Amino acid sequence: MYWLSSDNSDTTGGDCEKEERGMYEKHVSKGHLPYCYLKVRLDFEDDADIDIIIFKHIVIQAVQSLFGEAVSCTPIDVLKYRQTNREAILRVSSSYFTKLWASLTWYSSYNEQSCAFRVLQVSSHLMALAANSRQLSLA
Amino acid sequence: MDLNMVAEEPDTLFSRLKIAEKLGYDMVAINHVVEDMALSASASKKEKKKKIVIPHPDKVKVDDAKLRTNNINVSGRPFKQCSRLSTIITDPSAAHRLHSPEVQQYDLIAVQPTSEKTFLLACKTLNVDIITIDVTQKLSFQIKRSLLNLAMERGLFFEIQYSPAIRDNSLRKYTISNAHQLVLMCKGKNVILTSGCKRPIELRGPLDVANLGVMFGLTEAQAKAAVSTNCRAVLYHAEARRLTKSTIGVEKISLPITVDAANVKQNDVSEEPKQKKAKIDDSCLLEHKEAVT
Amino acid sequence: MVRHKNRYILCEIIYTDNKRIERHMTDYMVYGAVISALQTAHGDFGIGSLQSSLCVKYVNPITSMVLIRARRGAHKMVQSALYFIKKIGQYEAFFRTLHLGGTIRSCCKFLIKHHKQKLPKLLSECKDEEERRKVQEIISSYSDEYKKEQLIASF
Repeated sequence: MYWLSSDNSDTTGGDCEKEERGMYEKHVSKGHLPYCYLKVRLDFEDDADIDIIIFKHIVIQAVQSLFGEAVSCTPIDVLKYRQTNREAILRVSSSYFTKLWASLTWYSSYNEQSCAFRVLQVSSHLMALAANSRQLSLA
Repeated sequence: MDLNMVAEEPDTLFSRLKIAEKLGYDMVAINHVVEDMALSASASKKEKKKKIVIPHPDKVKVDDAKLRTNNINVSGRPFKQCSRLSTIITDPSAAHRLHSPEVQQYDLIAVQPTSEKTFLLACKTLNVDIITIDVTQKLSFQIKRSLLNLAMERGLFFEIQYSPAIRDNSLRKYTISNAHQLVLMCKGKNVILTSGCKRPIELRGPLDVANLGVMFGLTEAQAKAAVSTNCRAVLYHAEARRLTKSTIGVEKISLPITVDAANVKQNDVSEEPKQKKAKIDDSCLLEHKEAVT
Repeated sequence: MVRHKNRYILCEIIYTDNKRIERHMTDYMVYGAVISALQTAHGDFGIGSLQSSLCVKYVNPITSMVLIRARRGAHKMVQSALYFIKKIGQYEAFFRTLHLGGTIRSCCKFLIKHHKQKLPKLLSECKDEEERRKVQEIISSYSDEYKKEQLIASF
């Protein structure tokens, strides 16, 4: 981690704004990051109204039915939830990431209604979920 | 990215294809399932007549859809379809029907063995592309390594379907246990993961399915290959299977030989290879005749 | 050559009422208890990965010893699931893991050692003279062997 000061006088041509000097901080992280973030959407065959509490309950139920109590005890956080289209950003620790993803894939019904989790984006950085670089769309 | 089975139910087929394209699949194989290759000629003939007709209307359908919806695939490749036939083999004697030309017309052929004998038959002799392992019940036969190796050498692939377990939660245990066994035995090579869905809600994205593969015991690279590279390999194998069965006509063309004073020697030399060629042509024709009859 | 490597878990059933009576315990009851514990602890994934390899190899209702076989990669799931068991069959009991071995032979060896260590304790709990005499005979025969082993080892 070190400070990078941007000196506008070094740039070729253009006006130099010497009033403000931007100070940047560079972080170098090695190895696995502690959390993984998933952007998911819960699709129902027929429309259903799900609020955030029920959504989290569904996620934990999905993990519990496939992997049991041992894995369902890990903290899974719903960081953001949009009730209109049932999209959410989930956070889970990196070691349980594949298990959460697999249990979301297998989950198929809630209250006798068929549903499916569509995983839209996955990343170790929350910032990366802001835009979908593959399809060039902003959320 | 490939998906390799969409079961036939014409009402939802179009919506399923739409969702598959949306999820990111390049290609889909539309599957026609034949429960039993029964010896009852009338029933199977009727079915076979239906089979031949079906692939064509679907291809027409998707072209219309593409005009309406945006092409979501960034690569810009068009959404492809191919036809597939699957059968459940219970009786080894009925398996010879797979060699009939109506069946061989399909792009892909898959078999599902139900006993050790049929499994042996499928691995050793049957002219198919995919061997489906029924994951919804306890395997009635032991998967042997030697048979798996034979099948792999021939270029056959083993299929694990994930949609039955999504339809019915109680089948999950059997799916996981059978998939684990298969992956252990074949070391993760020559495995494809397919859907087998009947409704659009049962489809899952390609990366999701690759993650399922990791859960079944495949490595990450193998799991990704199971959804992409291996499916492509199946299609190549199917193409090769179809081409070798076609008959090649060899015609003997006799060219007028002009004798020039300057080219006498050359002609002498060229006559011999021509004669040799002529001989080879004859023998080829004979061989082909023998093969065809 | 693919070897199906297994792990054998040697457990002792400890009954909560702590009585020394002969109870009816079969391998089927133990298997049922282990499977239900796997379901709660590890869900469908646990049962799926162990269904083919899980097996109760030996149950001794008198000494309450149980030998469970599991696939090598998945044996940790079985071990952790054993903690969840509170009831086996119709008895309130739980498992105490004694030994984890790669072969049945190694588990047998450990079992014999374990029983030998238990014998002096049994002696103090003997009620009849005859029982006491029998147990003392067994202990002396084992201690002779033990002395022989020690002698050989010292050379």
